[in-house]
Amino acid sequence: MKIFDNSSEVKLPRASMDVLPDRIGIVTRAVVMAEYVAKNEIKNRTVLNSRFMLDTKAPISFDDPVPTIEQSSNHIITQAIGNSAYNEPAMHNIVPDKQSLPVEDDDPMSLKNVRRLVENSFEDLEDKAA
Amino acid sequence: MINYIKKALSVSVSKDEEYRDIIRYEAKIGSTLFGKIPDKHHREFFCLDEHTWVWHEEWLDKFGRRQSITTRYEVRPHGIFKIQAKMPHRRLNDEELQNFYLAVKLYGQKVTKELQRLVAQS
Repeated sequence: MKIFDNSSEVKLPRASMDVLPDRIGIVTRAVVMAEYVAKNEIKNRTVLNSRFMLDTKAPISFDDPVPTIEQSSNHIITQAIGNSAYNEPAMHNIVPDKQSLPVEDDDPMSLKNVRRLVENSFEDLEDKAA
Repeated sequence: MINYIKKALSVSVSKDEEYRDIIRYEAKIGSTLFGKIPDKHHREFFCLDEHTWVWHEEWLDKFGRRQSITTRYEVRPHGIFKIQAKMPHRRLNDEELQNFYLAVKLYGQKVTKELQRLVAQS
């Protein structure tokens, strides 16, 4: 389909005041309409993409702050989809491995150990007093 | 009576010609919005009417044959659709949508300014 001649020369149009204002109106309305629809669609898609984003590479941390409602819905969607496209397990399958959790007894400052220390020291004092 | 019809027709034809000239002029301005046009390429980008935008590109392939592609962008209330010959209508993808948005914005700035300059001249 050939619409125009192929010359690179830009000629000034033979336009009169009858046609030019009309055309300016058409172009202005077309631009405003196209911008409005495109902008809206870009905005909608951004919201959709952020909702369905699968952030599979992010390290899983249990110290992260409590997620917002928006983040929670992402999380639920991620769980539901299961990241199968990335061949990775679904979030709901990833549970902390109990063996890899720190054993409380090994921590000298754990509540249990501190309480034991205090109790022992009281017992020692009582023994000495007796 | 015949004279009147002839006169009316000539005015109408002349207006159509003027209108076509303006669109040709806009198409040339539109073609400059996307950077340098490659050698042996001819490009046009213009607003056809309030809902339709056209991209037309012609080029010579490696055998020296003229190739061309015309893409029509239709602005509908619920989205922007791309229409090409023998292809189903489809929505613009994210990148195309961004590019289309920027192109239309630039077109509006450049073409309106140029048309207003012509109005001031005439």
